[in-house]
Amino acid sequence: MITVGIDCGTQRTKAVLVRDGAIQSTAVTRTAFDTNKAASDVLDLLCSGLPREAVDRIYKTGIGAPTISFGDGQVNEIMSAAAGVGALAPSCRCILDLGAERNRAIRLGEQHIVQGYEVNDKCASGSGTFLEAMARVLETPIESFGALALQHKKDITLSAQCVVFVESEVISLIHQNEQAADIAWGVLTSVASHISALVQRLGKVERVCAIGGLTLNRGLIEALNREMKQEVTVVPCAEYASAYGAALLAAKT
Amino acid sequence: MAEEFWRWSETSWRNPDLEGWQKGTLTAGVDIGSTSTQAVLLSDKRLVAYASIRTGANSKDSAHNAMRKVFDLTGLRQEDIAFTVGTGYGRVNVPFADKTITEITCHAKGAHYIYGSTVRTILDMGGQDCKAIHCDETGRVVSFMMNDKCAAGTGRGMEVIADLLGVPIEEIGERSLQVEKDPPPITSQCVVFAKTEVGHLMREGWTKEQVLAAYCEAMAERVARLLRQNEMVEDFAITGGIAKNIGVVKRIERLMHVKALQSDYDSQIAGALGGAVLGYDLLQRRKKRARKTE
Repeated sequence: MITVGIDCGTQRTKAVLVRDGAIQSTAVTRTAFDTNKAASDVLDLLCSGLPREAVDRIYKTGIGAPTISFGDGQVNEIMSAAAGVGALAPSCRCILDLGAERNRAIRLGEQHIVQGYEVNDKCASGSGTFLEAMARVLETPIESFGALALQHKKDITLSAQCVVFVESEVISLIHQNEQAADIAWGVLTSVASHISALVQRLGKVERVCAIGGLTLNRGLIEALNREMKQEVTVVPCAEYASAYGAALLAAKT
Repeated sequence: MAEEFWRWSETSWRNPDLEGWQKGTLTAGVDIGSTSTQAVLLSDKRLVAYASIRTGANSKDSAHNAMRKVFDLTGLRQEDIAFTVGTGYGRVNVPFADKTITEITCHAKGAHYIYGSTVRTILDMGGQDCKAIHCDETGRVVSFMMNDKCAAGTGRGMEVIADLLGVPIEEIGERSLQVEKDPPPITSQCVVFAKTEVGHLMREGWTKEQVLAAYCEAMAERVARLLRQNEMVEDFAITGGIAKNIGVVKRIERLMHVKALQSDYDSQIAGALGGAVLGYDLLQRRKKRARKTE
């Protein structure tokens, strides 16, 4: 059985092709303005060489899923993340889904049953968008932001919470001749403390795994380990975990 | 260079009734805010001149620059000033201040001076915070509520929207009223998420005016919640930069069923003005005490 999961996020649309439970290929594209175009583009990338008829079922997930006009079914972000992580990291009991605009903390029980979750959707502090804004101010590509932060020599604690205010705070730190690496680390610590606060709303958690685009930032994972006082494991194919989960759920029905 | 739609105008003013005036006791107030800095000069509590400028990277320089503008307008010098009060978030950075006083106290006193003794509720909508202040008939603070965690409902939030839509910030209020029917307010509280939401709305065919109306409405609703946390007692006045945005002001008035008092002075000077008034009162008390001990 061949199924496809498409995870349409605010910034990137991810797709995974699954044959008999195993990942065959993955593809990613920018979501940009048109979610339909992003979804069909990513599908073309994914299925290159494979006729579309060969795919038995396509499931969608992610914030943009309802606006995609094709597909055989839709699952919410919590269920797809739980299914994906269940397969990629079976021992995991708490998922951190770190995305561009939303962070989710999901508590899992036996057989990866979702026991509860918390979402940050009111405030962008702690999100990928927040990191992008700060990378822009520090004139560092977002891809190397984590590496830069890991070169820090000292801790800087940011006092503001709001993205807009932290931007001004970072600019004044630059004016005070603070080093870019130290500021970047300060930013990551601040993000990590927001994520940690979100997880705390679930109570005590163990065996924490991270998925989502932000896991590419190793500096953030380091900061998370410190803020949460426990090890956060990045699952393999972390950015595709939810798309994979959607494809697995498509195969089940 | 890209056009900067967020840039609001700096202002300055000199009292025209003071041609050939007799100098009294001169007191000054300097309010260093996160976004703007004001200097106000009083002579025996009479308003002589003021200046409102953008706060630069260095708040000490901003304090000097605002004060220099006032001196240029009046031909006075630092030595002529009997007492200077520093206030606002950067108040410790007014090098020539004789005393610092918190901006809440100064704002209430300043609003009392501008709008008279009937004012009881002051909504100060600043660059990076928003305060609802309740004061008594002497301009003394009774209680206050404040949001300084989040840019939604502040001037900075409005600046972000101005840049996003490419609408000069001083036109936003007027244009937000140019809609036949008010659209539903923007649902995102966070300015960053609001940007994404505005993108979607524009793609759905909303006009800039509709988006501005939805944003001003959301801001007004947020501020109304802050006002309701405290008892809302009339008379009501709005100070700070957003007081100049008629789109937000009108919507707050509608939501709270009140009318905001009007003034010809720049709505941003309340803090500095209050500082100068408090400086004068302080001097008078000191003089009285000195006379008693003689």
